[in-house]
Amino acid sequence: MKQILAWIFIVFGILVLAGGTSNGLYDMVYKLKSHEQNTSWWGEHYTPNGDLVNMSYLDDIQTFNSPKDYKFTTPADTGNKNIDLYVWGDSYLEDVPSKAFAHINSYHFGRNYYAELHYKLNKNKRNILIIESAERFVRPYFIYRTIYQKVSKLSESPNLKAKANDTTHWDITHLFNDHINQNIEFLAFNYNFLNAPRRWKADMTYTLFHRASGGVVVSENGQNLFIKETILPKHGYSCYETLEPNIVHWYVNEFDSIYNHYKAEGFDEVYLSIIPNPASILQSARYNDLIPTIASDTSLYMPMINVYPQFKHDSSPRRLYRSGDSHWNNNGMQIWLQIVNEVLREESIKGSTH
Amino acid sequence: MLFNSLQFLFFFLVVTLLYYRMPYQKQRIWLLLIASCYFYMSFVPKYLLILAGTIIIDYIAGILISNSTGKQRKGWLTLSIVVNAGILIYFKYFNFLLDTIAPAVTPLFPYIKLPYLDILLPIGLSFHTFQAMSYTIEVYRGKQAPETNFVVYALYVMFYPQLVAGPIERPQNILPQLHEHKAYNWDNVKEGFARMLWGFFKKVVIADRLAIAADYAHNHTGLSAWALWVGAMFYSFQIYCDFSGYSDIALGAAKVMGITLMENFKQPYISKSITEFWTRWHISLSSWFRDYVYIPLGGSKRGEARRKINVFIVFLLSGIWHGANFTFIIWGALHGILVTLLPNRKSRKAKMVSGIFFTIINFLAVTVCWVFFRAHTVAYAFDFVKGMFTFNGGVSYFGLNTYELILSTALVAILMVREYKYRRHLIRSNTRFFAFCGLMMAVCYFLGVFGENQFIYFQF
Repeated sequence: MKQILAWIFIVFGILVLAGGTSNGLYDMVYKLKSHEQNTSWWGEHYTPNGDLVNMSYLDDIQTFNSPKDYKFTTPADTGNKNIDLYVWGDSYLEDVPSKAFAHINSYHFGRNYYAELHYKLNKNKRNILIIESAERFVRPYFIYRTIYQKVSKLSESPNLKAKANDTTHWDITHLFNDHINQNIEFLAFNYNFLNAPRRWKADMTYTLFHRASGGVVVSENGQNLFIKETILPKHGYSCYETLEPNIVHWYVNEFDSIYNHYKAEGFDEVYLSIIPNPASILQSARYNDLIPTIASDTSLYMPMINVYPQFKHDSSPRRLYRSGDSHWNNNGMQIWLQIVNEVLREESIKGSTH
Repeated sequence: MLFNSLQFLFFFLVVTLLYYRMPYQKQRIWLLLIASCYFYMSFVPKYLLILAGTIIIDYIAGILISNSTGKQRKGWLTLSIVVNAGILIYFKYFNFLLDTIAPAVTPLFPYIKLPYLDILLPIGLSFHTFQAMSYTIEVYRGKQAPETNFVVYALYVMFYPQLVAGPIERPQNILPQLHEHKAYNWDNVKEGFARMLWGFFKKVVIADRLAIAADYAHNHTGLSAWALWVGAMFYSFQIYCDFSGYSDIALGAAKVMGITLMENFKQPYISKSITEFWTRWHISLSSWFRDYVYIPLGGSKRGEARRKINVFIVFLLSGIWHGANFTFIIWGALHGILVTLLPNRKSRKAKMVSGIFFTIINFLAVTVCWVFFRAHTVAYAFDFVKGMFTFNGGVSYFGLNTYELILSTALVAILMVREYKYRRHLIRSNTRFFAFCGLMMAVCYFLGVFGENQFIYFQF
């Protein structure tokens, strides 16, 4: 009996370790769990109140409320559809459909870090590239210049195409997936029946120690949740880390290099857009002013789609972000879309006159 | 793969169960070697090649040293040490050396771009390099026969529980155990598990909680001297629980498989002098420096003045070993100065005067030294220490609320009592063992501070 039990545990352990390396398995199980509807014991513990509520198990739905669904509408003046828009952005923009943009002939989106964005520029259209990043990811995304591999020309070479389409291609690094612990936690422990102890822990931590567990921090006014790294005094993601002049210089140089690269590739214009961390706007006393500092740097010639001034001067900035989530909400996104569509209108006119 | 990760939990389960399913020692050695490769590659896969390279060189060097005499024998040892030290210097100290010479070189040659390396330090490099060197030195000294079985030698360097943060083992302890077939022993399993759980408790419940307060003190300005002292003292216990917690998990994981690793800590904060502290803190490293640096330098045989110089050299090297930063060098130098200048209070006279008084003084001295260890720059460390002795106001906030501060203090008290009074990890009664496991798991889960909290000593 002991022998059989031991082998069951061995096989189970190997399956979990192997499964943890597979993003495909993760995606499949994620879909099976049908997270928002599945309330059965094996469903996922997902809560629609936001990813940070989900991480911290502080399920106070009164405080950290859910946003309303946003109805995307096509901008009114989309007469001349002469823009091929390429957006290399993060999860903030993942759900924005092409119809939300003005003057679009075609729209291509690549989620940074997770997917690649390949372009084949049409000389008869105005080719615009927007590089968007949440403020916390600016440094990690650009520090190794992997953007040049991730956002690249669509190869015409049949060999390369075949390699790209070869889903059976595998190398040993797949065994060492960076997300293995997240995947294992999801596959082995994220079930509704395990939620109760998680909530006990979260409630106890919050009640006794007045802090959230894990990587989540409750804002000073108790009305928002922030990712811990974004408010640490020293961290690559933090908007509170002291900004040394050489760091700003590094950012500006990087952005200008990226700008030069993609202009040389044939894009008519390349824009940078940095979405402020929630803490940069909602708890701004210690903000290091990364975005306004970069935007006002005279040596930066990469144009910016900058929502920071409008966010900063909004009469009620809390309305721009989901309170229990690391993302903005539809109000914030609407401001971004307005600025982008204004830029696209100007680009469309430039395209028509050339 | 961090010990405090889910990946390790499943990895350990699979490897241990498979280990006891294998009837022959040869199979077990292969299993442990493959498992250790997987463990190491889970940090940065390609760095396994560096480790493999040094293993091959030292394995061959060991045989060549054994088969040669005179200058040739010394030559092979030198070659082995140069290769190991060379790899360590290249990966760990090259950029630091460039940083150090840059202020002198750049003004003279403004158009020369210094060749900085854009690389990550292979994890645990300082640990396994020292362990590999101890093998070739021991073979050279004739105290250890060369290991002819390559797989066994590779496992001596790579044995996963102690691969990335020690204890830095000696061949005489490990190699015979790797050859010996260990029969399944329930007492070993219980002792190992109990020790692992104690290590997890020290890491996730104590160290990572104290880290909140220590980080707060180190990351905020305008704090009172009292707040800085609390932050600094909490860091002393944080680093102890972090590192000794890691060692407990390592020793426990090995014990489950019947392998006994050397003890790395013996209640260092009850020491009455800095000299005694170093017989209780990171024992595997301090004994390494004693055996391979201090004694070859002459030890205490050439008079008191030379002894003190030798001691100071050892502590300076110990500081450099910890990291490529002047903060570590100053930390090592401070310990060297304290050890050479202050008397060893372990003497009978000291016990008669007041053991507790010297224990407290010693702890406070060690705490001040840790400030340099924790700081990113020397200037910051001096500012922090200055703040600890400037009693003119400032905010007395500790980064934890009152309840958590009380809990943290209580946890430190529990730690001290447990490790001073009840040092054994084996619980003979099965009922008590399972009760202990259940309690520790519940405490670790409900009071544990979870996140991406690496072990401090992983960086070395």
